[in-house]
Amino acid sequence: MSAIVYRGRRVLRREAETVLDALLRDGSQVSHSCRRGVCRACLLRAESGDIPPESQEGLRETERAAGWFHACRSRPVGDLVIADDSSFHAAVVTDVTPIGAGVARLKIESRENFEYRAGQFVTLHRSDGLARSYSIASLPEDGQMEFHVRRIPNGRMSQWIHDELRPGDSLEFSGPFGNCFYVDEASARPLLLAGVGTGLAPLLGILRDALRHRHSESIRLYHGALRPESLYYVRELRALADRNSDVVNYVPCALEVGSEKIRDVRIGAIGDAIVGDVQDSLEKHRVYLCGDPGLVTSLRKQLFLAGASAREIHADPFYTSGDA
Amino acid sequence: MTTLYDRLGGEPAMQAAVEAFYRRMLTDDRVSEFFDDVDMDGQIAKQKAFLTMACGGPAAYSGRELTEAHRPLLAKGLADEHVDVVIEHLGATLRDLGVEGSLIGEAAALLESTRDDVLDRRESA
Repeated sequence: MSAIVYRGRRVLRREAETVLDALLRDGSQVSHSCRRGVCRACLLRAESGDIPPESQEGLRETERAAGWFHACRSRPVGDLVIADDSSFHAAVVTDVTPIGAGVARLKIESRENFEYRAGQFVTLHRSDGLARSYSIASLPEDGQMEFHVRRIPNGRMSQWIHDELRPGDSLEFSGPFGNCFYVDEASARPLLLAGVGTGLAPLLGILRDALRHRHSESIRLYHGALRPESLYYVRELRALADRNSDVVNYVPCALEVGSEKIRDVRIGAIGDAIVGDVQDSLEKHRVYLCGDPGLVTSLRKQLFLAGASAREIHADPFYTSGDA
Repeated sequence: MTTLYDRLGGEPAMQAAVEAFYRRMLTDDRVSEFFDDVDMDGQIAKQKAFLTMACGGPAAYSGRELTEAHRPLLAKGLADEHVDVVIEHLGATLRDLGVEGSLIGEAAALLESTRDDVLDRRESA
C-alpha cells in the first residue's frame, strides 16, 4: 500500500485503486472525466515520489518534466506527494524600471530558495489580496526574478507596480506554474519562439535557458507589436543575437509602419513572417507561443496547419483579468 | 488476430495520424465549425482516442458514452452529412499512411456501426 499526500492530507492507496480513485474515496474534489488517460481533466502535478510512466503517456516532454500525470492512470508503488501550488513565498522588490512601450521591468528576490524554470509564471500577491500572474524572464542563477509588466489602463496591479512599488518593498508570490520552458534532450530541435507585447518575457527566459544549455540547433525569436515603437528590448535583443549569431535569429515585427523608424523591423502579420521564413522546416521545430490569447490561438492554428506538429507547440496565452 | 491499430504501429502511429486527420478536419468548411480553436490539445486528444477506436485499438466506447460526448455537437447541428465527412477524412488519412483499401473499409465499417449512437438515434432498450 502506498501513500499519497494531497492538499495536506495523507491518503493510503489500496492496491487496485488509481490515484484518482483513492483521492475521490477520501473525499477530495478532483476534476476528472474519461478515466482513460485521454481527456486531460484529471492531470495532477507530482512534487516528488513515484510517477508510473504509463500515467504520463501522451503528455509533452515539458509536462512530464514538470511532473504532470493522469491521476486516472496512476498506480504508484511508492509514495507520491502531489504539488500544492497554493503556498505563498515572500520576496523583496529590487528593481522597477520603465523599459519602453509602457512596459516596466520588475525584479524581485525570493527570501527563500525557490525553484523554477525560465518561461514559467508566478502569481504576485499584494498585501490586500490583489493577485496577478506574470511570466519569468530570468534564469534561476540570475538570483533575482525578472518580470515585464505592461501598464494596463485601469489595471490595478499594473498601475501599482508602475507607480508605487519601490525597491525594498515586500511582496508575496505563489507558483511556479506553466509548461512553457526549455527541455534539454538528445534529439535537439530548432526552436521557434514567437509572441507579442510582454509575451517576450517568457520567450526571453526560454531563449537564455536554451543558450545556457548550449542548444546547437537554430533559435528564431519573433517579437511582434502593433507599431515598431511599441517593441521593447530591441537593442538588447539585437546584441544578444549578435553575440550568438551562429544560432540566434531575432526578428522584430510590426503590423503597421508607425511613426518611428526602427531599422529591420518586419512589417506585416507575425504568423506570415514565420511561415514565410521556415515553412519548409516547420515540422522539425519546437514552437513556443506566448502573450495575447487571441494571437496565441490564431498563431497556433496557423502554424499547425502550415505543418508544425501539435505536440511540439507550447502555448502560454496571457489572460488578463476582467478589471485587470 | 492483430488489429489495424497494431499493424500500423500502435500509439506512435495514432499520434502521427491524428495530426494529419485534425488538419484535414480544421481546413474543411463542412465540419470545421464543430472544432474549438481554444482547446486544441483537448480536441487532438479526443480525435486520437477516436482514431484508436476506429483502428480497433484500446479505446472502446459504449454507445451511451458516444451519445453523451456528441450531444453538444448535435445541438450545433451535427448530422449524417458530417459523419460522412469524418469517414471520408479517416479514409484519406489512412490512405496517406499507406493502408490498403480493404483495411480502410474495415475501419470505416467500425465507424459506421457507431453512427446511430453518435447522432443519438439508438432506440433505448
